[in-house]
Amino acid sequence: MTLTRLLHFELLGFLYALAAVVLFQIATRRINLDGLITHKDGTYQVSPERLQLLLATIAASATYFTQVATNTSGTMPDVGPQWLYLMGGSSGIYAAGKAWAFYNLSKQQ
Amino acid sequence: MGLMGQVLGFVLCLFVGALGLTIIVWIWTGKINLSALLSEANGMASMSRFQLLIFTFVIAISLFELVQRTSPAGFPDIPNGVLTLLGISASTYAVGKGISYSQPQTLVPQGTAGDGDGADAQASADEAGAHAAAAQAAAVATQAAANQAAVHAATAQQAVQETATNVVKAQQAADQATGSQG
Repeated sequence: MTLTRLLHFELLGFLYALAAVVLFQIATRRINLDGLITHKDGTYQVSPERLQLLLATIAASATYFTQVATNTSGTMPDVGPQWLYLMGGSSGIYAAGKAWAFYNLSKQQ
Repeated sequence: MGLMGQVLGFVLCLFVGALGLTIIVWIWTGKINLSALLSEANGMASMSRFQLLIFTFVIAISLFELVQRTSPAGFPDIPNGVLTLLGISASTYAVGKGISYSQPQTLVPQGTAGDGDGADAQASADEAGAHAAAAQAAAVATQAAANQAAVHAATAQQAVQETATNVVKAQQAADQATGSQG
């Protein structure tokens, strides 16, 4: 095994271990996920803009991972414009919803 | 590569490996605290932080997975689409953080308002109920002890009165005996 290969496996192992530890801590609630998809205005109702962003994130990540797994050329697969529009729109809706919620809260106070 | 280069390479590998292992162990043992990794200023989880975390892992792992497939081995080019995606995610995070911290007075601390966290509220209510029941039981026990003490006091009072009566009788008997002798 060459040094380059050893270093590569070390870094890949580190990334996988880090992802596993973070996932484990999320599963055991040591990393707090309370309120991930709920409004932060005190009502704690499910927020549609957060939910759609979560779904879009999971869909985009899964799609990209699938492309990487089936890739044999060794080049990073590009993200298509449709996915970029989707993520941009989804993130924009999320940010706009958040700004609107904070605006309403500040008006109430 | 000369002997010196080999040695330096192994030292570098050892250092990187030890560094990575240390970080993982410290996170695992809690010395590096990740509990607020996804939390906003009010302590609740942020969707934009979660998204940035997911994308960072996805892109980083994909990149290192593809390094070994590149021939000759090297760092693969990162397409513009991937950079744009990470840019969107990071911008959303920055905007969200800006909104959160621009009006800190509007942040509702976790668990202080609303009825959404029903489990916690129920647990608190149950705990308060248990405390109230314990206080009630303690009050009943105190009342019983007070009643018992009152009974004992009455008994003691009666005994004192009997003793006083007996003393008076004894005094009278003594007086009578003295009179009969005289």
